[in-house]
Amino acid sequence: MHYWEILKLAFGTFRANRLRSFLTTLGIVIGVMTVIAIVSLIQGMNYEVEKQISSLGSNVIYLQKVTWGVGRIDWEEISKRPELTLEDALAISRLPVVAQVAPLRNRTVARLNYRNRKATNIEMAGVTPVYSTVGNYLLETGRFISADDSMRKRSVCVIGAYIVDNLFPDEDPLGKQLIIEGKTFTIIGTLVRKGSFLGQSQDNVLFIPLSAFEKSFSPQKGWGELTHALSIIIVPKKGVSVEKAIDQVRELMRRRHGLGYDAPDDFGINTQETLRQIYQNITRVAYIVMIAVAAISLLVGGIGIMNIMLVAVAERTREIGLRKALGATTADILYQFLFESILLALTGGAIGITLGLGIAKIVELTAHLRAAAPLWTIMLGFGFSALVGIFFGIYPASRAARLDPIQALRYE
Amino acid sequence: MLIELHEVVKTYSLGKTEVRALNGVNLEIDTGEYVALMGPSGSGKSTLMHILGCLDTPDTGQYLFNGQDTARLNDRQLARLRNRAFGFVFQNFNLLPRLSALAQVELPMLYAGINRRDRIKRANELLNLVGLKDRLHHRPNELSGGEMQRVAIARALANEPRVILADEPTGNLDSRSGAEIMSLFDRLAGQGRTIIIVTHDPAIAEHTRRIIRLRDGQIIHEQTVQSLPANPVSPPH
Repeated sequence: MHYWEILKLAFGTFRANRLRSFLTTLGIVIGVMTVIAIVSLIQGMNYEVEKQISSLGSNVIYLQKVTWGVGRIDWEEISKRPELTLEDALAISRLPVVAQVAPLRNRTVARLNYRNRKATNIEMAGVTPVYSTVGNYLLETGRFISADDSMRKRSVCVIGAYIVDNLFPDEDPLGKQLIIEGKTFTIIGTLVRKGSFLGQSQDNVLFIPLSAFEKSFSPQKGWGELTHALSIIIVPKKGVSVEKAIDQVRELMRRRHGLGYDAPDDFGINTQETLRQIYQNITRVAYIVMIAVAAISLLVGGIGIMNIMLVAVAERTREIGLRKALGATTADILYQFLFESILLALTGGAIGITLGLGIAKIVELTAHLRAAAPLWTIMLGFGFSALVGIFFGIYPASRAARLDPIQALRYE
Repeated sequence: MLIELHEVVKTYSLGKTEVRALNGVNLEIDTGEYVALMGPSGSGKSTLMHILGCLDTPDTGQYLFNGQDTARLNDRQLARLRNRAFGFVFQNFNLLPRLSALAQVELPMLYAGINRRDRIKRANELLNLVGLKDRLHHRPNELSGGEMQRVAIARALANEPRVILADEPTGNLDSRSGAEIMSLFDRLAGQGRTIIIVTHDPAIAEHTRRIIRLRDGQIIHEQTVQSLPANPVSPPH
C-alpha cells in the first residue's frame, strides 16, 4: 500500500474528529508558539543590538576603571582601583598606534527645567572637542565644544534632540541658559536626532567641556561615583589592529600604575566585543528559559497525543481487525496510526508557528522591537512537532499494529 | 486440492480454563465448492473459519492452501493471502462507518496496491453486480441491513478471491433480506466461485451443495445436498 494512501486515511480521521484533534494539539501549539515568538524576538533584538554595538565602532577601545561584564563583579576590588587621569590620556595619545583619545566623565541629571517645562533623566558628559567625531555626533545647529571652551572651562553645553523637544518645542535654544544642578550653562549647539534603542531614547544627552565638568560637579554617591570617574575612549590609527592597540595601552597603563609581573590589571579595557559577549550572555538565559518552556509543553503535548491515540486505538479496535482481515499488513496499520499522530503534531506545530509569528508581530508593533523569524525557526518548529508526533505516536501505533485480528473483530 | 486440513487442533484459554475449539479436524475443499459449516454455538465452526481464512493459525496439525503449508508463511505473506485469496463476509457486516459504499469496496484493493482509477472502476462494477448502483455514495447509516451486507459481499469480491468465507451472513437480517443475500451467494456459486458459509440455520445450509456438521471441535457428519461429480465428498472421519 502506498504511503500516500495511508496519509489520506490518516487525514480522513483527522477531519472526522476536528474538535478533538484541535484540543489534542494544544500542548504542541503552546510549545511551538513560545519557541517561535521568543526566537523571532531575540533574533530581532540581535539585529538591533548588533546595529547599536557596531555603531560604537569596531575599533574603539574604552579604557575605564570598570571592566564590563555580567554576573559576579567584585565591586570592592573595583572601588580600590586608582582613578584614571588626564595625564594617562595624554600618555596614551603619544602611543604610536593611537589616532585619537577622548577622555570623558558621565553624570545622570535627574531633571532639567526651562521656564515651566522639564526634561528628566539626562545623560550628561564632560567631553573634549574630539568627542564629536569619536562618538559620531552630528550638529543640527550651532557648534560643538571647542578647544578654547575646554581651556577656559567655559560653562557652555551642547544638547540632544530630546532636550530640545521638551524644553524648547517652539523656540531656538541657542544662547539660552540652562541651570544644571545649580550651575548655569549657555547652549551653544544642538545635536542631530539619533532615535531610540530598545525603547530608550538616545537623544537625552548633554555635553559640556570636561574642564567645566570637573570645576562644577563633584561625584554623586553610589553608582554616580563610578560614572564620574574618568573614562578614556581610544581610537587606534588606521591599519592598526584593535588587539595591537589594546596590548600597547595595557602595557603603558600597567607601567604607569607600577603593576608587578603577576598582578592583575587595575583598570578595564572594554571594546565592542566585550559588549557583544555581555549581550550574548543575556540572550543565552532567554534561550534557556525558552527551551525549558518549550520542552515542558512539548512533553505535555506529546503525552496528550499519546493519550488520544491510545483512545483512538481502543475505539477503532474493530476497524483494525477488519482492515487486517481485508489484507492490511502490520506495517500498514502501524503507519496509519503513526501518520495520524504525526499529522496531529504537525497541525499543532503549524498553528503554533502562526500564533508565534503573530505574537512577535504584535510585540513588534507595540514595543517598537524588531521581530525576525528566519526560516530555520519555522523548520525547527515543524521538525520538533514531527519528532513529538513520532515519539509519542509510535507506542499507540505499534499497539494497534500488533492487535490480533480475531480478538479485534470480536471486540465490542 | 484448494484447501486441505490435517488433524488441526486449536485451543483457547478463557481465564484459567482451556477450551479446545478444534480437536483434530480433517477437511478437504476443492475449487468451486459451495459449502456450509454447521453446528451449535461453541462447536468450533467460527474458529474453523478463522483458520481457513488465515486470521488464525492452528496449534498443531497442518493447513495447506493451494498446496502451500500456511505455517511457513510470515505475517506479511499471511496478510497478502487474506487480501488476495479470501473474501470475508461477517454477520455484523463490519463496514467502516465513515466510508461510502464505494470506498468500502475499494479497501481491499487499496491494500493490494491497485491504483485509484482501477479501484473505482472495479468497485462500481461490483456494486452494480450486487444491485447497489444507485447507492455508491451512501454511508452505512444510510443503508438497510440487506444493502450493507451486499456492500460487504461486493467488498469480499474486490480482489477476485479464491474463496469467499461468510460467517452467519444472514444472522442480522430479516428473512426477506436474508433470502436476497442467499440468492446472491447462489448466483456466485453458480458462476463457479468457492463459497464457505458458517451457519447454524438449516434453511441457509440447504442452499449449499455440501454440509459439514461440527460438534465439540470435530466434524461429526457430512452430506452432499446435490450429488455432483465435480464435488467429491471426502470420506467421513
